[in-house]
Amino acid sequence: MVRIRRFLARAYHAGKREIMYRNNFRPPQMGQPRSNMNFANRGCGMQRPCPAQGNECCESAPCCVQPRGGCDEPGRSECCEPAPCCEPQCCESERRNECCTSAPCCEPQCCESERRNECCTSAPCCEPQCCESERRNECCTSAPCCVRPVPLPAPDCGCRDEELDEGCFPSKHDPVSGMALAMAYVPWQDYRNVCSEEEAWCRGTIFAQLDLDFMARRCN
Amino acid sequence: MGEISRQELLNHIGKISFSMDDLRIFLDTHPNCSEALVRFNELAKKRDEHIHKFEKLYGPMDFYNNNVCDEHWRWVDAPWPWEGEC
Repeated sequence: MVRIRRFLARAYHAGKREIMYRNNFRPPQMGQPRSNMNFANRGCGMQRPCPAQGNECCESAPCCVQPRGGCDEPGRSECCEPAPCCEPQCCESERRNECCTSAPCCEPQCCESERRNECCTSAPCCEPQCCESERRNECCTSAPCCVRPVPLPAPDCGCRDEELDEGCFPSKHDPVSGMALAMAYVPWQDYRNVCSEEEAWCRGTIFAQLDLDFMARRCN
Repeated sequence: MGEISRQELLNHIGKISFSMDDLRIFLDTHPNCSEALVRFNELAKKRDEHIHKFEKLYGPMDFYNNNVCDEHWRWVDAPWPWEGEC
């Protein structure tokens, strides 16, 4: 009778351990865990840290995150789709996260060329380091583009009284003031004051408004 | 138009041509100016009349017209440039 009880007890405990095993619980007396890393078994359905090896105990439990050897290859979790994927350790090339579309993609470390983030459209794109040309961010239209250097303010010529000193503010009497600087402008001519053929021959033009005096000096 | 010398007729033609040149430059930038177009056509008609008058009296002004060679090559009848007429 005692032997039967012991047998039943052993069977009971073995079955219980089996259930526990399936529930992803390993009591210490079952042996060392596969990974040397300390990790806690929180049960199926909960996120677990990332040991070197995956969790193969329970299909419904989230799988391990970190693949072996870091992120040299796009390792991913094959057990559960919502498991986060690994992040690349470096971004010197167009490496990206292929595991999970919601995972952030790697950011290039340098932006000397038109490199951009192709993983995720919402991820920030790289910014060019210099703005000597019309280089801009092509990844995201909302991403900030190169900012051109702010021009230095014009030196102060020391003329404060605009009313008296016209040498510093000649634009006050300029007919084309308000137009862009450093540009040549030619106003439109109207059809008016047209001379006869005889008078045009003497003036040198058929339009009287184009018959200007030759001053032979600088115009004020 | 009465008696008019060859040089005076050439001067008239030259003045009209000069006015047409100036109007042409204006029309290049104002292609839709109706007043300028009317004026240009008037000058062109006047120039044609003066040229016709000149060729009738003094021979062809250029060798592109058909009155240059009927039975005789009339182009050589006018004074040459080195003969002092130009």
